[in-house]
Amino acid sequence: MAAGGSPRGRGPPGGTKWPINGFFPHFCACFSAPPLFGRCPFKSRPRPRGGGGGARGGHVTAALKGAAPKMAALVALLALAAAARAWVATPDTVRPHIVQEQLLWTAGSGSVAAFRIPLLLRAGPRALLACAEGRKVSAGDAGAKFIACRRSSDDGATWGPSRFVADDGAAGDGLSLGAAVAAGGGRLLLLFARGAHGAAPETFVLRSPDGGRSWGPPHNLTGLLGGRLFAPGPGYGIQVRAEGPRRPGGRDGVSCLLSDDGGASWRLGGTLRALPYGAPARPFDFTPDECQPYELPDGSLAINIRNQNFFRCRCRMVARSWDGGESLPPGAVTFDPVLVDPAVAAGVAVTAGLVFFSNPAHESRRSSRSHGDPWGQEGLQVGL
Amino acid sequence: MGLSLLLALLPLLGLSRAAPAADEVTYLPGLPKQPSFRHFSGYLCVGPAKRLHYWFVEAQSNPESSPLVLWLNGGPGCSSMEGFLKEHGPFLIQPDGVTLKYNEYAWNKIANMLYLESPAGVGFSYSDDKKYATNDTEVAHNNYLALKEFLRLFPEYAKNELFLTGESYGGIYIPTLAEWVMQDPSLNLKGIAVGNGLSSYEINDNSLVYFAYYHGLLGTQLWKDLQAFCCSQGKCNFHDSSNLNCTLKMEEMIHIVEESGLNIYNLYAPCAGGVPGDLRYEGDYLITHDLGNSFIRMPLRFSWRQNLFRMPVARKKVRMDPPCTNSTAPSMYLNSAAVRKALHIPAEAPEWQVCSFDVNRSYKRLFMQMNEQYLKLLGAMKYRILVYNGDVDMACNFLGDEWFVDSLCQKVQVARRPWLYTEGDENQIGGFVKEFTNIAFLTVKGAGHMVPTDQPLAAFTMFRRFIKKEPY
Repeated sequence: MAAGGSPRGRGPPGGTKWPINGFFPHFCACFSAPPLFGRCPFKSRPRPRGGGGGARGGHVTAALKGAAPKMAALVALLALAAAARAWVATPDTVRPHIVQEQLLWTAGSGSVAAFRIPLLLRAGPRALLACAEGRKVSAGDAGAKFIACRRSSDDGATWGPSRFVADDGAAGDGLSLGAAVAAGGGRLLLLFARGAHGAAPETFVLRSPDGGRSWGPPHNLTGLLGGRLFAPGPGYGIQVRAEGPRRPGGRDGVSCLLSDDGGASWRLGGTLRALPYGAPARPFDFTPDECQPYELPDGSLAINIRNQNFFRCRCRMVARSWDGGESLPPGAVTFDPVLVDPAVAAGVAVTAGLVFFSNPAHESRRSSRSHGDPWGQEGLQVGL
Repeated sequence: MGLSLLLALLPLLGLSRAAPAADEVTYLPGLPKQPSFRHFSGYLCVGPAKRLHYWFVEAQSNPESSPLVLWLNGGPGCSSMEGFLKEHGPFLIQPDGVTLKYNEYAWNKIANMLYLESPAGVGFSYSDDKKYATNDTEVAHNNYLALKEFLRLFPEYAKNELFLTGESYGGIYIPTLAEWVMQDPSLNLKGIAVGNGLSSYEINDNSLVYFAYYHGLLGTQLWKDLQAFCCSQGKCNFHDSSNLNCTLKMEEMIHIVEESGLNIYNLYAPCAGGVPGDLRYEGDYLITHDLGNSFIRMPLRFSWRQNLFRMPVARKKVRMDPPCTNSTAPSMYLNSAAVRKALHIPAEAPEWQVCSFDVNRSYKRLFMQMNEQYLKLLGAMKYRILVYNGDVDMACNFLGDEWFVDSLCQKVQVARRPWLYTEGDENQIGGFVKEFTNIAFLTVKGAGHMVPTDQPLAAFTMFRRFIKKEPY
């Protein structure tokens, strides 16, 4: 999660890239019913340990996205640490707990039928930006929607009013969130699709120059992507340091959307194709779906992926890339039986050298020191 | 005996809906084809002497489950038949004064619409004693009694969702009526909507000066003078300044906005009848266009209004026509014998006029602002409120109502944003909306005072979202 290069200007030194997670062909919402809760931020409390700088961990935050059965949905609890911390935690040194919980949207706010697909982004030193689909007249995945965002400038203690940053009018197959990226220097990007449930989804990006206070009009990326079908997210994009060869992506499965210039221009990166390629999916097929990328301490990327048809297990699949998302080698895909997956979206965040995972499948969160290491066995129940 | 027993049993047997058969309009002149929905016209008796005319049109589909919406035009003293025949009724009057045309954007497509002519003395409404002096609180109570009387005649609508809506001086009528209705548990009040409403005399006056200047109506020198004489420390008082120079400059400004021939109801619409004088004669009638809602504290205007009321000539033949508005067609239509008969208007009911000079000039305005009424409604935490404004109206300009809603200090739910409606396959900006908890302020772009007349599709979209609790 390290912020590489200069945060300002185009083309920061070091060839910084912006992979955005995406999937094809289905955009599926994963949460059940309103209301939405925002719980911000999660603090990890390092156990006192020989004066090793643990006190600096007071603001390390972890991602948590999901809901226990009784709950409806959570705003993605993602408060990204702005930079690498001076200390590296191990699973046994952190005790995440819920510091506070706030209701950001309820069904009926602004007469909106339902709020789904929550995203949360660190938008500045103390700023958080929460965005969600505002589904206008029904809770269904298709249909007309707003993108509603609320901003906090005090680490989530208080929140400004909702701002509808996109409005698809009365579209039958409207917009779908989406991926959020903090692009440095207060610039934020919000990628979303339109028509994701039909034959020709389009990909758009919204840009904020000021940490989410104001937003420009949506720009259609569909042309830039060579007409490829791409429905971003839900999740967040990351900024990585690695640079590697550019390779054309495939047409199916999970894809990376890359930008080398802070989100000004975009292209497809690595793709993990569904198998059998192009055929209608059947139970137990290999169909990578909604996904979340994260950068590991060694500079490689991992992408935690929804296993839509339960290939091999009812658990998450993890893809790897050692070239910044330019390629996603099929040989490096693994399956993690600990991370139970009922085929819904999940959240992953890395902070202080720890990977945090959460999803609605399980009432606990698990953490792992790095990819391949065992997950911590104690979880945090987030449901009420 | 046997008959009354049968009548008493009918509702129990579910054989008939209770609507008063005598009031049903079975044939309406001017229509190419009689409607498939039912409509009723008759009188609601309020107190011993007052008879208020109503025209009720059932929803075009599922009337039994559709909400009941009361509509009141303003004035004070103007008829809700204007709203029916020229704004959002199911059939609109054509310029020939004879023909009606079906309205594609009729509000009764989704709601049971009750158009009430209130107070007594307005339109076909009358009082046996012909005493038409009244005031805000009496009108609010009488409107409430009329609504109760309506539901006594149409008990099948008592349980339906109820919305109170109105326009212009309806900005006073509706919140004051809602105060009564909200206290009556037998009425299922869900919300109120006010279009280009008068919410505060002071804010309406103050905002109008800015509106006029920034719409290019006032010259730079006049604007500078107004700033110099009416403002201090960044705060302007165009409403009741004690500065004589301010008063004089305001006279200039008022003349431009209200008397120079601009259409006060729609800045960008022509003035029907051409640039008028303030007063003119038409046949036997002296015509006045001043409804008296603006600048009530300006000394010259106040005394002129008093004089007009006292003038001998005003005793009989004065007609009050809203300025730059042609009411010939609805007058011709409603005053034709066949239409009066079809609408069950008795001989003792007066000739129909769009606005009643008598009612307007003897009306006592008791409320100068509506803050208390809105706060009471909002305090109940369960009513949906919409304040909407056509943004080129100068009678009750959008800026004033925007300031008014802001002045209620409610929590912002959704920041001000454009709202969209769909025309053909395209999304268009209908205007802007700012949503607070339970109250929204919304503009309709390019519409004047009579929003549905100018922007029927946008207005219908807005109305539908309000009624169905969909986001704007």
